[in-house]
Amino acid sequence: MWLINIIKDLLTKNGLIWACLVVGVIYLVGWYLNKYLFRGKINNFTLAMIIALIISGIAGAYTGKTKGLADIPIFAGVGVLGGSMLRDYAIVATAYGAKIEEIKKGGVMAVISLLIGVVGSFIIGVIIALLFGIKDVKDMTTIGAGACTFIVGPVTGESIGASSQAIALSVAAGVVKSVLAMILIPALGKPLKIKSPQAAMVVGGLVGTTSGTVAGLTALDPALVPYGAMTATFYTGLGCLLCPSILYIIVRAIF
Amino acid sequence: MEIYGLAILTALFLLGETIGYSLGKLLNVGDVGGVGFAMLFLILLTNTKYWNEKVSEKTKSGMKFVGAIYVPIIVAMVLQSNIIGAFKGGFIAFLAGGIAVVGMLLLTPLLSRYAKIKK
Repeated sequence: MWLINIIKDLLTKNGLIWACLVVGVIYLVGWYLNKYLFRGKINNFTLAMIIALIISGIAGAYTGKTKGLADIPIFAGVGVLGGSMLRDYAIVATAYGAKIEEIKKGGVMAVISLLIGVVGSFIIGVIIALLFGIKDVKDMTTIGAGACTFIVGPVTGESIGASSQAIALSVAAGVVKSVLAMILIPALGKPLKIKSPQAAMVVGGLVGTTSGTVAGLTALDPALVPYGAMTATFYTGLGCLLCPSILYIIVRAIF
Repeated sequence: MEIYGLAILTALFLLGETIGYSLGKLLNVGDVGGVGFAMLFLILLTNTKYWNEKVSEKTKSGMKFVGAIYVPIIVAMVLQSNIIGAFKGGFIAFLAGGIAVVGMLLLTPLLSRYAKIKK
């Protein structure tokens, strides 16, 4: 069909703006579901995110690749819109209007929570690996690093020479963490009293995974995003620094 | 003009990333908080008297525009998450990632309460 071919060409050629339409439609569907199915009780963004997660899962199952909807050629523009360039640029822009005083108040705690976040996640990952009978020190360390973020895992694994299976597991652990953060931060936001900029900075430091923290905080309260994002962006760097060095040496000394 | 807002934002972003990657190079890792540094610069700039009194609304709106489109950008980011990869990792991945996020989240009230008491 000539018309389908023309449309296909157009959508591929105009990938980035086509992605805006795709996201807009997802948002609209989320809004509609919220209004008529959930009677406005859920946050619109949360619903849009859940729909996006489902679509991404279906697309991933269909293509067998790792980048969800962006792996389908006519939706490649989604990969540009949601890729790291625009994402980081926009995250920086959210800092517009954030207050210096708030950051000063939370600064010390943010640094402490970063350290606790990296070391704590690492220990949890190592313990889980141990419980599942993984005895190799390098593999254990890598899975521990994966419990930090899906970048820290492979970076650590490759630098200390872990098995490719452990590296794959570490990436999966990091992805699970990111997806769960997106869902759990808004769900647990109230009982955990995440409502001040300082609390958001602590969350960013403890949870770390930037994509998960930012998406989760957006669903909870967009005003908190800059504070959480700012600490979270230091997390992966700190993890890549500590996991293959000090933490690896400690694990090696123990086992 | 709006373009100035975009331009300033890009300059700050690149400055932050340069610091982040330089730090990373020094420590032999990738990027250490490049985005975080950029955010810090932006906050410092927008909290100055000069910014609030002299800079035109149009320049500011260029910057605010990027901040406003980050929500659809995040949705697009979620659209490309590796859900199948998360499931394929099986139980180990699920527990390692899951307990890490739940455990750390539970520590939040403790640490954030301390953050306020200190001041």
